[in-house]
Amino acid sequence: MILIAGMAFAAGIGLSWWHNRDTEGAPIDGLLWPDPPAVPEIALTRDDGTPFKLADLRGKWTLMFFGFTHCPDVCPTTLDLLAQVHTVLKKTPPYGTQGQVVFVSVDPERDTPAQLAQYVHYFHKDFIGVTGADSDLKPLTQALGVLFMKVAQGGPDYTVDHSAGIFFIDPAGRLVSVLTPPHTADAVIARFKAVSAFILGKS
Amino acid sequence: MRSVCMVLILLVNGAALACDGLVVEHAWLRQPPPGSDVAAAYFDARNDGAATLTITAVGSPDFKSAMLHATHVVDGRAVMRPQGDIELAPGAHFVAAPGGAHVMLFEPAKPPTVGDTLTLQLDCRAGEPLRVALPVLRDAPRATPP
Repeated sequence: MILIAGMAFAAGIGLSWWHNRDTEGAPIDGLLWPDPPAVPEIALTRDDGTPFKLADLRGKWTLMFFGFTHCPDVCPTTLDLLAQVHTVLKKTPPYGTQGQVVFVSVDPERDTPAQLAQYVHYFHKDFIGVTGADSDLKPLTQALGVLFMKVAQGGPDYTVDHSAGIFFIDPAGRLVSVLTPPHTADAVIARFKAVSAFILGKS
Repeated sequence: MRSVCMVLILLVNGAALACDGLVVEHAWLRQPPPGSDVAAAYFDARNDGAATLTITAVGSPDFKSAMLHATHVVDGRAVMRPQGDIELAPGAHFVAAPGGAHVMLFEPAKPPTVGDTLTLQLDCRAGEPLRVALPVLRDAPRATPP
């Protein structure tokens, strides 16, 4: 196994984790508070070929996951789970009909917008696929502390090691929580409800 | 019709015995999403024999090539790496399940579709290779309900 390219690394500062308490005093694991990292301006491409910018994250809740379409195990498993989560959460505010699941491909070399479109829509028609050149992905992955790197598998084939967390972006464009695997739909829904209630209570 | 019956027998029994005591159950293949040319298969293996056995390779006649991989989560990052031989002591289990070990299959003879039943083959250091039915499913049969 040869490391052929280190494509992006987290910002030098690790994400700090605080244990916070919601309004009822229950602890919220993994809430990034009081200094949630802000998503900077981004210039990515949506699966329909149109731009995907910071403005597309504002005013709604986003569940973000990073991966690539040639990923046989973790990506389909997580996207199937996110389809269950999205179906449940879209029924009620604050996620509601504005809430979105965004799958960010960290393999722009193989994942064209058209390919991403058919891939993400297989899991849920509402899902949004986005990607961009490595240099365009970097502002987002650095701000969120997302790690990914290309790893040779012999021959022309390669895999991409990538963060397997589910990232919660609040309507102000801030990363307010990261769920680490293994994931369950119930745990993601419960965490979303706790975190969103906390954030709403602060705004 | 006969092959359908054989498949049903395999599915109903959920097990097949070869490879000197190797029993494989709950094998399934995740239908690859459109645009993806790789597939993942999962299974539960158990050694019902009296001696230790070693699974040296996994594959499928329905694909050009296959590798047994394991997904590890390292510092929150999913890292997929080839899994070496699997040694099973008598009574020992090995589970390949989503998010962990899986058979990664490349270049299907035809796109695997829900409802198809393919074949998973496991080679052991001793004994005949074990072939089991590999139904194609949309998602894990025991997935957590929403």
